Amino acid sequence: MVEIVPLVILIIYIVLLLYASYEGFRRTKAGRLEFFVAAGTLGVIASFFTYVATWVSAYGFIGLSTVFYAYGIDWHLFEAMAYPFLIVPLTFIVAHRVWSLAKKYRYITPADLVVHRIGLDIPVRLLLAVMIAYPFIFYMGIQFIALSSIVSGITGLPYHYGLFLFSLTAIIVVGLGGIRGVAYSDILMGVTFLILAVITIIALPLYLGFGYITSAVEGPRGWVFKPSLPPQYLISALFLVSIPWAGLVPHLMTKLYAAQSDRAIYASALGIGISGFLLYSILPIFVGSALAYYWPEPPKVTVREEYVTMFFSQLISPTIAMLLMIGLVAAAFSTIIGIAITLTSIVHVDLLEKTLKLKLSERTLDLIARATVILVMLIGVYSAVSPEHPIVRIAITLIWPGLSVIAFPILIALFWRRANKWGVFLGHLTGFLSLILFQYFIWPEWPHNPFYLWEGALPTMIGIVVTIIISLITPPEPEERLKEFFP
Amino acid sequence: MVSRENLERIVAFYALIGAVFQVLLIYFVFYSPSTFIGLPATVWVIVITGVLSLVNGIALYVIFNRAVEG
Repeated sequence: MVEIVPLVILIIYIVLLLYASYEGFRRTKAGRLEFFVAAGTLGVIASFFTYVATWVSAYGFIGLSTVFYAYGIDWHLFEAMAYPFLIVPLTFIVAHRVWSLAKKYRYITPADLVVHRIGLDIPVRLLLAVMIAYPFIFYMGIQFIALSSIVSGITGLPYHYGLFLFSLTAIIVVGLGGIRGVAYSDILMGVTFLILAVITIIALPLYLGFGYITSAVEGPRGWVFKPSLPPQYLISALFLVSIPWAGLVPHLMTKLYAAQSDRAIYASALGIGISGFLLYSILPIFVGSALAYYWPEPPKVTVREEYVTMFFSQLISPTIAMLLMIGLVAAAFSTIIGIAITLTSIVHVDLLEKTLKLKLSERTLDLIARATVILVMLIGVYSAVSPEHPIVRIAITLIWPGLSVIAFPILIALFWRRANKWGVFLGHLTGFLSLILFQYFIWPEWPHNPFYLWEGALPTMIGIVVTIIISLITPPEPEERLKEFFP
Repeated sequence: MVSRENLERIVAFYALIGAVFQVLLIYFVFYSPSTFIGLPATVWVIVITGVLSLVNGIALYVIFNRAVEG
């Protein structure tokens, strides 16, 4: 049976979201710098919300709680451990460096920074376009899975109907919105998300009793609290997954470009610390334990993420559950749109303008770019039709490796004067090629290496080693170029 | 007043020491079978990790903002 009231609430919220995007679109001034990176004018509050909203998605609340319940607590630690000493402190350094360069040289795409640093123009833009599109397809896909599980778990509407509804909404929003539109809807999202977090922490002990976590530990599903992953898997991931998230993940880089001041960057870093505490550490323990306590045997579902939404629907009524989950809808949307804007800028600037050098009006270029991104997004939707794994496992296996092989050569170029064009370019190329080879051809079984390291560990290390060695055996970049980066 | 460059070096060093601390926490606490107040070590490791994320975020926000003012 379909629950009508929560469905109506959801539709009202989607209309509001579309309206916020439209308002942003209306207020966006002409010019691609304004459209893609708000001309670097987002203040402290807008930057804080838009950076956190793009970061958060539905991954933390739904994804980590689900993987905790379905696979065990070490998959939750995989994410939580990244925050306190690597992502949060390094954001104050790395993100600040990215922002200060973008502010000075007015970058639009992630490749702008790399091209400016190393000089190889078209090859870098082409390679990075492919490398960024690959993980982003799956990244959008997992957001669609989470969104559709909210609809199916709470309203009872079939999962694929939800997928259709959200794909349609995303197409309209991508067709309309620039970064300013996203920033407006992100403030709306931030408020609803905070309410969800606080109510969950208060409500679960009230509904299930204060000792429910202890009961879950002692219950038949107590095995989820015991580690099952080998330590080298977690340790390799600790360093190689975390560091890119300090400001070198492409859709977050463009959010940094959009910030107006140092303080906006620091506020964003603070937001990540708060999210790391609340959404990536504490809430999944509360929700994952509640699931283990409530359902020692998992119920039948289409996708595993429905465990969380069905649980809230049964515990506190579908209508209230939908009101709470609205923040998640906005969070997932914010991530999709953030990714879509970055991809649009890549197609528009890196491919159509700088590589193909098309002499068309800005409006025509923009239309082609958006149509391309909608196609890429639809591939992401396709990956969400019948997912084999929970979204966290998809991210850890397919998305995070793709982002790490992009980030480390850039990190080296940002902080090491000796890094040069051949080192960085070949570091990117070998990292990406080895990722594809290892995952699909050489070791197709998990964890895609014989040492039980994290899936992306070997390709990322290959990229790092190649960047360093090739840079050392080839001539350094000219001093004039380096002066712009290391004054 | 510490220069921005030196502040970045100090924070990078702090991050490195902290990451080593986390490796030890994972090896010696996360994989231990002990419990505290009825909750297993695995849960406590995540709680400690979460609290440190918040504390580091707030502390560094204050420190870097003061550095900007300076």
